[in-house]
Amino acid sequence: MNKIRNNRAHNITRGVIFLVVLTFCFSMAPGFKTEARANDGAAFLGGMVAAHVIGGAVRRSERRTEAAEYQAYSQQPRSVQQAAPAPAAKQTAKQKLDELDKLAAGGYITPEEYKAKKKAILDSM
Amino acid sequence: MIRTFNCVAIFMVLGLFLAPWASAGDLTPEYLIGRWVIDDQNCSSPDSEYVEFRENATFESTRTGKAEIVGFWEFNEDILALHMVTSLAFFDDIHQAMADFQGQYHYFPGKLIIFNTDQNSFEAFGVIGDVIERTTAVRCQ
Repeated sequence: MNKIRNNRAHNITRGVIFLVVLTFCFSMAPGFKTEARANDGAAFLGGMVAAHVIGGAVRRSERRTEAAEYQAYSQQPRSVQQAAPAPAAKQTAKQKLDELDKLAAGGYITPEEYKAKKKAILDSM
Repeated sequence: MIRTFNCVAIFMVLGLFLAPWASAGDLTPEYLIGRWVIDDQNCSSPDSEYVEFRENATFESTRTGKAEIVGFWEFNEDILALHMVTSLAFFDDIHQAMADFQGQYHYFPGKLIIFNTDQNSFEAFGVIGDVIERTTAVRCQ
C-alpha cells in the first residue's frame, strides 16, 4: 500500500517538475511572444507604440462593427415611439481635426480611416 | 517524508528558474543611467536602436542616429515607467500607414519590467496598453 502511494507521489512530482520545465522553456524561448510583434527586427519601443496603435485600431474597429450592428437592430421600427436623439453640436473644421488626431493617437481609428476622414473634413471646408 | 521531499523538489526547481528574476531588486536609478543598445545589437553601429537614460530623469530613443522617442523615466517599485512623446510617422518602416501622421506628436505611457540584470546588460518586458514585448539591452561604454 505504501509502495503504491510512494509511486503515485513520485509520478505527481515528476509531472509537476515536467510542467514547470516545459512552461519555462516555452516562455524563455527566443521566439516566444506575448503579443504578435509588428516589428520583428525593428524598433523595440517604437514597435510597441506602432503595435499599440494598430492593434487598438483593429480592436476598436471590431467593437464599432458590433456597436453598429446593435444600433441598426435597435433602430428597427418599434410599436413604441422612441425619442429623437438630440442634435450634435456643430463643430468647426479645426475642432473636428483635433478630435480626429486624438482618436488616431488613442488607436480608436486606423491610419487609413484617419486619412480618409481628414480628407473629408478638409474637402468640406 | 515523501511529501516533504516533493515540496523541497518543487521549490528547488522553481527557485532555480525564478532566481534571475529576483535580481530585479538590485535595480537603482544609478544603474540605469547611460546609453544602452537594444536587442543585442552592436554598440558601434549607427543603425542600432539606442536608449539613453539621463541623470535628469529624461531619456531618448534613437535609431539610425535620429531621435524617435523622447520623454521622462522614473522607477516605481522596480518597474520603470516611461512617459514618451513621439510621432507615429517615425515608424513608417514598421507600418507604412504611419507616414500619414507626419508632423503630429503624441504621448504614450509605457512600462519596462526589468530582470536578469547584469553589470552591463539587462532583459526587460516592455508594456504599452496590452502590447507586451521582450528585449535585451547592453550597456554601451
